[in-house]
Amino acid sequence: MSLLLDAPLALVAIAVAIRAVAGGDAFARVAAFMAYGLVLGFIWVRLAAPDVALTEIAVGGGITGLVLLQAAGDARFSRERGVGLLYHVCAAILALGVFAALAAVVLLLPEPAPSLAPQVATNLPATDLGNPVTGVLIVFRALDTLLETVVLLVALIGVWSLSPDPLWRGRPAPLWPAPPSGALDFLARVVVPVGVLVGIYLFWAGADVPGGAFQGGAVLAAMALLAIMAGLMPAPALGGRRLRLALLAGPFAFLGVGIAGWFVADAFLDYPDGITKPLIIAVEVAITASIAVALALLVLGPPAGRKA
Amino acid sequence: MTLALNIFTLLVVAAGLLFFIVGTVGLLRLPDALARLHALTKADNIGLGLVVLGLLPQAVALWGVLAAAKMVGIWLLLQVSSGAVSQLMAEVAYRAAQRKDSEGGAAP
Amino acid sequence: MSGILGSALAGDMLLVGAVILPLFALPPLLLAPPRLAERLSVLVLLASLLVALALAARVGADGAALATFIGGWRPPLGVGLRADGFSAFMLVMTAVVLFATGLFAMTTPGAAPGRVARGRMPPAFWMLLASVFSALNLVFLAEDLFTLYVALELLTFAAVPLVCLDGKLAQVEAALRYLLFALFGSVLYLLGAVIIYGLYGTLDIILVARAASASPGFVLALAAMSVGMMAKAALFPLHLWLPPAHSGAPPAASAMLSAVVIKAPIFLLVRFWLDLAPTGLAVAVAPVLAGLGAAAILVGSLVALAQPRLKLLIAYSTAAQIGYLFLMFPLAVVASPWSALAWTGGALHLASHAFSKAAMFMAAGLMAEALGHDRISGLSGVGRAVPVALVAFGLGGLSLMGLPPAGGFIAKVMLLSAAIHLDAWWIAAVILAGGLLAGGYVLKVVGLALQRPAEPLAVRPVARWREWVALALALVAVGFGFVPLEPSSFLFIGRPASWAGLVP
Repeated sequence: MSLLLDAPLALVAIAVAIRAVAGGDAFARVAAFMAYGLVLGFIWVRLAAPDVALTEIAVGGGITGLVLLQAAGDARFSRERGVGLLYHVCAAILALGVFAALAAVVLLLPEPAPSLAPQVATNLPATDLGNPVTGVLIVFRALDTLLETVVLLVALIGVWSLSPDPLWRGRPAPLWPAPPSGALDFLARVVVPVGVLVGIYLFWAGADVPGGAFQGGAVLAAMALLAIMAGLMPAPALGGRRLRLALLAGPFAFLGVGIAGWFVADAFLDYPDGITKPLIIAVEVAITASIAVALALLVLGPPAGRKA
Repeated sequence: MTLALNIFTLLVVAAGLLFFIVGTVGLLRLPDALARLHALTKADNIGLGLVVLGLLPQAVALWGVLAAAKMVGIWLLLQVSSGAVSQLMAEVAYRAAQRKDSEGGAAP
Repeated sequence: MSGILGSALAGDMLLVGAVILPLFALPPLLLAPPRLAERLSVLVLLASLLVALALAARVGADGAALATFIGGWRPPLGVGLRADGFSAFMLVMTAVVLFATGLFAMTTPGAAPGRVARGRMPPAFWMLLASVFSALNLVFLAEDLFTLYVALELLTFAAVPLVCLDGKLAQVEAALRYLLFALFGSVLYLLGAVIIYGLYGTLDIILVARAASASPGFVLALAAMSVGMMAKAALFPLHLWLPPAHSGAPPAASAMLSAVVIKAPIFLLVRFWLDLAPTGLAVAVAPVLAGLGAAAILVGSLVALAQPRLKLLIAYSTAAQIGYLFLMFPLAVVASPWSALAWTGGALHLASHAFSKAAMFMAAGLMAEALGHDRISGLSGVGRAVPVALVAFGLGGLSLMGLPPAGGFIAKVMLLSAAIHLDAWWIAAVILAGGLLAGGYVLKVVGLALQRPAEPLAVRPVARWREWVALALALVAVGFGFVPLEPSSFLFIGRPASWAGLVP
């Protein structure tokens, strides 16, 4: 029964992946890439990793796909680079080599594979959390997550750096030069409130069931983008103090809690007993806000001179 | 009782799948973009509605009313988004077709 | 609080502080006015330098590695930071170079805001500089393979935009190519880390090293991670991204990229092959690394000789100079008293290259600023316009050539004597040939710059103190030439047990 489900899923994943790299219209290839993200999400569900599935669909398929779609629609990038056959052959050989190595490794890995999952399960009660993934992200490997939020901020700064800094107070260029549309307006008015609720739920539920700051933040970012595209709200001015504070909130609230750990608990990023859960939630609120803002701004792109 | 509900599920889900098949055939065989969208959205909405309807008794039996309500919610959201999105796609396709027509008229 | 606990806490704060302190430059840069934010950034850089120095002093005084566990969770569940002698050495080197870069990039104090707009570095530069600082410190301190991956990601996303700060099309293309190579390296690294977790159920370097054997899976993981790091370090033949990226960036960014950023993957290669890999495996693989390093030295130097532009010449010289660090591997992995000397020579070369290369890129930037171009054929007489910068370039070049009394000389003497005593004649030959070739391309520039110009030069004024920053870095590179010619015991503090007994 499971093979009946998994085999088509695997075949579809391969087919969509081939479509995404196989040349031709850039737009169609990006669409295939987004579909690939969705299929990968299903595969993660089948592998019993719903947290990864949610992130893959929201960020890998959705947000990344949106960025690629914009690039595909941009006339400056859509001119095809003539890459020779040799290039394709080299890339294919490299990819096959990595595939062969991976296949060999999967066969070589010890069975059952050693895992830290039992240790996580043993120590999870100390964190007041129910979702082991959140436990690993916010408690056991808090340093990695903290720095990942910084990575997101730095990536956004990298995107902004493509515009000269006097423009950094302005707004990003509009996503699509699309005429106002009744259908889009209707869609945004109905979906955005529901989506915001879902985004907040995903983050809130993340403490105990699959979900969390990254997934919730991605959904919130998507809702903001939908509202901007439908013309319900303008693209934000990037110089706005509140916007920049929102960007800094996640990494620096996390850092602040971490530093406080030296004084009220035993170590950096150690949460004091008794208020562990409220502190973790507070950090997650800040992270979710920063991720939502940063992802939306990454899609909106560098600030442009505001066209009169 | 369970048997009756199971038979209900089987029949209604099968009917829903039939709509999906018809919609997919329409997507593949119909001549232009507007007609394809037409076939696809109608079939999808009814098809998914039937699948959800068929699964409702199972959801109630297994996980309670809340799970069933969530499924209805999913169906409603999909109604809205697929309707709106196909409208958007149709607008684009319609405009592209018009542009082609006017260019074709101007050429000779 | 007892004294012991107090000092333990301080060590903990030094380790974490080295990683997080530079990040505190970000909020003012996003919120405060540019001039104020820039001054605050320089202060943060200075504070980070002080933390690095304190950490090194602490490691030196203790004579043991300093370690901490984040949140009190011990590996394998949690992650640790650890500073041994080599890490502390790298930390201090990085901090000095990045602080100097900050000084160099700072707008002239007291100048009116409007007048300096031409040479002003944008806030993005300062944010990326701070992020590079934090990422590098994490690379040097992290004890966990996934934390290292995060560090590499932070480093990549901070370093790549530095290449295209001016926003010209050619620079954006160079930055994109750099990004692709760097991400390719990251993916391979992650692949290796995943395999290691699958094999041993832990990502902690010390725990993995204890459990590891030369099994096929582990060899594959190390190979993937090493190729990834070679792509990031631009080791021949994966060096193609480096020259356009390093030469296209603004001088302060080039200095940082060429001097310290590419040292991070090399540091990790040292960790993989000297700390993680079983010795037998390392001995078998080291000649391959050295062979690629030798090719890098010869090819990079020859191509550098043919470059028409000064910054491209310096960039190719970087591609060549990192080759020496790979020559160190076969000399350092064998169990011999001479390997300690080779290892010290390699570390010394790494540092003296960092200082001299930063000085040379800054000097080249000042020459280009004075002349309005950096064509080597049009450099004649530039020595009169920016004499201090030319001295900095020359002293930096002295170290690259390996002439006494510069740091490059003493490093090469150490590598040479180890190579000769270990009967690795081909390595000795490559070291000597590389020095000659470096002499060729450095003297070509210095000779031209000292000539009397054919026609009077139209020279734009250059802030003198920026020349002195370049000169100070070059003098540090030369200063390394006065370290004693023997294995440094500081570098061996806290190194793996396999090293014990090799140090006099």
